[in-house]
Amino acid sequence: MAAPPIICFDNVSKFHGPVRAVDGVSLDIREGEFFALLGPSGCGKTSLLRLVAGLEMPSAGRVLIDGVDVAGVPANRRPVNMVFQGLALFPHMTVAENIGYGLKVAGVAPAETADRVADALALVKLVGLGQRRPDQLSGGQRQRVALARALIKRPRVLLLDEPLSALDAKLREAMRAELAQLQADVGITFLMVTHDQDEALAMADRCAVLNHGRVEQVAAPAALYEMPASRFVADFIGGVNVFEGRLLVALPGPASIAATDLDVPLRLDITAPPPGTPFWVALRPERIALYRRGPGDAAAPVADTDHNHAAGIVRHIAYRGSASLYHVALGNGRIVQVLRPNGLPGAPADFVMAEPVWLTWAATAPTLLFA
Amino acid sequence: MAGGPLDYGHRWPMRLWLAAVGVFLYGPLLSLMAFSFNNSRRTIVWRGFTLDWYRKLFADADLLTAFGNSLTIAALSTLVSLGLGTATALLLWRFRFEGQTAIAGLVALPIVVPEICLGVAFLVFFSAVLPWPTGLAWPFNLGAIIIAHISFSFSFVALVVRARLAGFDHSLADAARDLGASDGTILRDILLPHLSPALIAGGLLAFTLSLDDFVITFFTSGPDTITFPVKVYAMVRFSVTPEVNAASTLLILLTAGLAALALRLQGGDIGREAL
Repeated sequence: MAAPPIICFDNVSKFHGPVRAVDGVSLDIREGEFFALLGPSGCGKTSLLRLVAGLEMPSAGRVLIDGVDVAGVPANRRPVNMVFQGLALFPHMTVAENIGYGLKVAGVAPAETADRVADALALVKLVGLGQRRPDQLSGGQRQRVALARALIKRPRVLLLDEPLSALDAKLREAMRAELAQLQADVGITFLMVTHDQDEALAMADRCAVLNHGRVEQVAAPAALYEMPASRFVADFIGGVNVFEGRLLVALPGPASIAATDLDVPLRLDITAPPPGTPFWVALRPERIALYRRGPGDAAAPVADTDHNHAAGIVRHIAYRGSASLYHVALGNGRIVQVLRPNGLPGAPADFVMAEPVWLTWAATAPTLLFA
Repeated sequence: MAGGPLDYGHRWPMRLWLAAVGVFLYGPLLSLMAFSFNNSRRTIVWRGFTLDWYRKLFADADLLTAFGNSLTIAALSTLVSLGLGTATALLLWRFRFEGQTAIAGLVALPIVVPEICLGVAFLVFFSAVLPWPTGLAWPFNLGAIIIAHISFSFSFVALVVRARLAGFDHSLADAARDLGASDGTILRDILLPHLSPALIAGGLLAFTLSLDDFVITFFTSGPDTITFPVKVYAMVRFSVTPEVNAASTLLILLTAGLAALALRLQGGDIGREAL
């Protein structure tokens, strides 16, 4: 934690006319990390990236690279390089010319450029394709050219704007691992923008979740998922059931909470919030188990005391291969999502539509949200 | 008997129509070319093949001077139009400023204003407002005509270049800038290669427009600055001689050749060949 931030957003805002694309963002990116800016379209994540690149200038606040305020430093003088969303390969240049362009503009001798281009081609596994045109390459190969072109000047930070969006689903999956490996190999700080939560969680060391130009939460992927700071984050990262909460009993030990939409009081193994604070209870679909027998039944599968139970009826089943997402309607009509793995050894038979079921979850399963 | 668009060529009304187009569009041109080889002073009856009229043509000092004038005017006005038209298109594309729409309209004005009006306007301008000095050395004696030609052909260049710019991917310029390129370098390395098909098309357009322009040139040319089309017109005023046919044939072949070249260059990936 002692390492100084390589990029620092200091209360940065960017206005496009009346639109606040970026609204008072303060954020530190540490040297050597793979950092993802995650958010829905229009959340300001690409603007943040372009502010670092120098392709846009902040309306207010400061952007610091290596502790130096880069206001007034044009894009072509900044120690960062970018992989663009549409890749932006120069169509009239060969692969080698594309990759070597940054060096050519910098006035590097042709012989040295050729050597470094060859190294870059090897780094991204494109040896022998240097004389091709971008339009003679596959999507994955074009992706690698864009990476090599941005890495050849050995930037302090590599900026990646939706780097995998141009690829088809299968290739995207493969490139995720490759990109993370590449980052480890070159040891350059990566700052990536994406709207794809899977992509961010799979690749990044830390993520910032953005919404309406503001930072909602900055955390490591697991912490984002397990301990979301707000309803927005909980909902954006994976599926979630959110109930509005009201404190009933706050004992030393488990708290009892009433949730609108939920018939039964919730027993939560957490410190109770102070009375009068509005809060919400977030419950991940995979943290809920489905059973045919409920509490009170002699053969109930789990003990009553540290679990919550609710009765419902299966209304919809979305089969996803390895798991199925069940929509279960509670007595009051509220739909709760439950994710249940398929084909586990020894598991009871699959549930069917309109079947009465019991939902069960541990007192430790839900998270309290205060925003 | 429903069929694809090409099948219509087999139906007789369509064939008749095509034949009519062929006869009335190309018939006159072909007969003009044919009679330029006719061994007769009169242009009505075919009396055998000869190249005499071409020999006469190339011995005619006035005509050759006119032809040289035309080529000079076309070359110079094309060069200036390319620079001016491209700069105008880039200005309208790159910047947002007050009165932009008005300027964009003004640039296109010479294309829509009737040529005769432009011709008269230049006549008045160069006689009353800014008289072009006479007796200047070649090619400065052609200055008035060159300026007049630039004024309409740069509009066509600007139009073609603007159309091409509309399809430019801004992220290419961003990428070049990100890799260290300055504005000038981006123009040279990224923008001009992208524009090269439009520059070639626009240049050839300006060249052919200038080469066969009659109306505007007629009003701006003086006694010592006759161009080829004006000279042909002067010859026709006495009678349609086989020399005129021969001269016209040469002009047609030259323009057709340039047009074919433009089409061919536009068909291929010029940005690629240019580098």
